[in-house]
Amino acid sequence: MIRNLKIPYILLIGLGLFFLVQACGAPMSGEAESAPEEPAAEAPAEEEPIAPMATEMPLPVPTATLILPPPTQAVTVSPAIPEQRRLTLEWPPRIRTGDSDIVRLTLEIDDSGNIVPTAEIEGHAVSGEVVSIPNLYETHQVLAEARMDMAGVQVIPAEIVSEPLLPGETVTFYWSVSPAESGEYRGTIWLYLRYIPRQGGEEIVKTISAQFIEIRATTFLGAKAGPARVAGAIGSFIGAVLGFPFVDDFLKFLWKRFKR
Amino acid sequence: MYNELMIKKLRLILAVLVLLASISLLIWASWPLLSESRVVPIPPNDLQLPTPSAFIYFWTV
Repeated sequence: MIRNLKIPYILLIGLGLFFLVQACGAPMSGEAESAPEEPAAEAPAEEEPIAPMATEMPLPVPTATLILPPPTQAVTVSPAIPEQRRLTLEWPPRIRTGDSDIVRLTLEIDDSGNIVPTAEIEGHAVSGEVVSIPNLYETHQVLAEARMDMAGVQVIPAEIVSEPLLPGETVTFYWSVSPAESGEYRGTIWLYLRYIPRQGGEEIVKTISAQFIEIRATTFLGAKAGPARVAGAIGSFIGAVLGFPFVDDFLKFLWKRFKR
Repeated sequence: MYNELMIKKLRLILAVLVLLASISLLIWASWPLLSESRVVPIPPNDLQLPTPSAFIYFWTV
């Protein structure tokens, strides 16, 4: 009897706790849901507390204002290659195991891009004066160097390949790739530019690009490309010999269907 | 007569199976491989000597 009386009380306490937990949790979930929907205009208001923190740090006070001379003279900058170039990488995403294929990297002239650098002075005011960039080809000998790294795959050539980069000329690198086992192989193709001063001095090597590639080596029911070709040729011959007596019947059957 | 017919049928089935398997092997082994290409423009900054002139200018000021 006493037990029967306690059950409603326990249920009531349980319900009360449930609503209490819901009430406490509701504002939190509401905030979380509304946060992404807030307009962008309110964003600076949130950033305000950060400002005092920034002022606490000792910032260098500008002691002198530099007034740039009017751009009557050409501004001198470090030598550059007076061309816009682009890099084209071609590779096979799938290779038959045992076969080989070519990976090609081309450093060519980008026809759409002409470099006309202009000096930008005092904020957004553009003077319109063309900056004279010394031609790097005149001061340096430029070598394009490339390397392909891919573990588990035979890559020829494995070492760095280098070719002279001449004005207006395209440089192309080729690698022969041949996976011995099936699987997925990942590698990187590196391109460097080596600047050798014509007057003598220290060489500078600059990394231009490191491109990630993935090649999948496949098999057909476990057969590699070479054995598959041989087995295919032999099997076709055997199949033709076995099926030769039925060629006559097959042709007759076809002829009958054609006549209908 | 029945035996001869059975052998003929078996031979036909075998011939078709062998031909199918070998032709599919040949097709897989001689199918031309596709190639993917990626074009990346090189920013002019990368074709410049790595001597940041702005940095030197800052320090001289």
